[in-house]
Amino acid sequence: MRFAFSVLAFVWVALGGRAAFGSTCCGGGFAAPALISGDEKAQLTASLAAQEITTDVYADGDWRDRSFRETSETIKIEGAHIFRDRWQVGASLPIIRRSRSGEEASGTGDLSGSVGYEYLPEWDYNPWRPRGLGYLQLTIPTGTSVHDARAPYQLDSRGRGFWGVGAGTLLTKAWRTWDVFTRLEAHRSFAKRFAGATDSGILRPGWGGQFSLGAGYNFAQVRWGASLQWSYEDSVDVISAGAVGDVGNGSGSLERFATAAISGSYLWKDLLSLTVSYADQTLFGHPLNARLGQTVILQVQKRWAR
Amino acid sequence: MFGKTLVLLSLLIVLPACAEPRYAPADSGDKVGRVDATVDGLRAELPVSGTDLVLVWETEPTDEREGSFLLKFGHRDPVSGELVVEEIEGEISVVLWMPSMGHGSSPVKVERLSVGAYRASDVFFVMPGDWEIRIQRRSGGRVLEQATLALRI
Repeated sequence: MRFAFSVLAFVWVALGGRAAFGSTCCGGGFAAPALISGDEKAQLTASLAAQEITTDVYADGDWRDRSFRETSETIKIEGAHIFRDRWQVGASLPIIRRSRSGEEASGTGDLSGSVGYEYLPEWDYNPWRPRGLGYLQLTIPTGTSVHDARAPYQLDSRGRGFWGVGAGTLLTKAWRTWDVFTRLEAHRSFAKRFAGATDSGILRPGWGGQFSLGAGYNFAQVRWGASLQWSYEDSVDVISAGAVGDVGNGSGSLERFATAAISGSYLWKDLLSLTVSYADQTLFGHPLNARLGQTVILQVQKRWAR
Repeated sequence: MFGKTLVLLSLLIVLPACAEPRYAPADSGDKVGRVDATVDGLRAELPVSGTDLVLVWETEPTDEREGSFLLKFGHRDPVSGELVVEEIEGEISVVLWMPSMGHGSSPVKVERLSVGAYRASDVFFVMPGDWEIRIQRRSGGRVLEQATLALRI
């Protein structure tokens, strides 16, 4: 039982890293929720992610490699706590620094909070039935969005800029030295008014979703893992203010990309783990209208047993 | 046995999902791509007043440097086809807009040079992609009409 406990903790570490990958456009995106997927009472995660944007993908699917350097570093603090046995709450806050051509800007990204419920508990350690968590997530646009950015190169853009709610499920299963997980999420972002440096009006985003698959191999206190996550966002439509007729109005393009990741984790003293991950958005999927990057993530997680 | 099955299943899922990059033509790289380019510049029309305009780059922007262009407004001579420059009512503004992502770039400065002639400076596209140069005629802050030139950066 203790080994299974460790494996599930590692699964969470692998999932938690996803939150640091960021999005394709302009510093912000939907983060994976802070969830406890093991048997712990509480957990606190700190991560440092260093990302370089390497490729732009046009709305028609054409790729172009970057001829200039744009990087970001994200420090993320995430916490989650169990209440009433099968319920849990979580929250995460990223602090992001973006750099390009000698200019840089830093500040908070979008804050997110979640409520989860373990609808498939693993009480009898059934050999096939997975552990299942359902969750609701709220994204609060505390990070400056690209529509409101003022800094050179819009480097102060660190969030999507929309309130959003999402619902999803996480299924995990461990067999001896192997573990697998999958996560499916749908979310909805809400319209907002904007007043940017060059235009103002109303932005209407839509639905989005994420689907993840992952697996890991565990031995002793170490886990090697790999995962793949597909992300999708509806287009953002613009209704320009101050226009006569439909001048300035327009529909955007949908955005999609896939993130592949490999990770190595070390569990130290059962309740403290260290994970190093590498994520690449240029390897899988058929991206559209996206900025693709490569990310290295260092993550430390402290958990508290029930 | 279980591990091998899991690895095989993973490969069956992952391999068909491999990306197949289709790179944009090399000439749409660092320079501003031109749409409807003519010898004397980019042509467009303000749809309400029927005013013709010509955009001529002074300095093309790059990934690291701002650019500038000249704008001339008037009506095309039906015989010679050349632009006869005329005064235009209202204020002229230029907005750089990325329609696919629904956001703009940094503000463009517009200064009047002479009758029907303007210079737009601080022209910078904040990221690669398909952009629009929106040339707007405004009055009292309202956009009366707009001509759009599409560019691939």
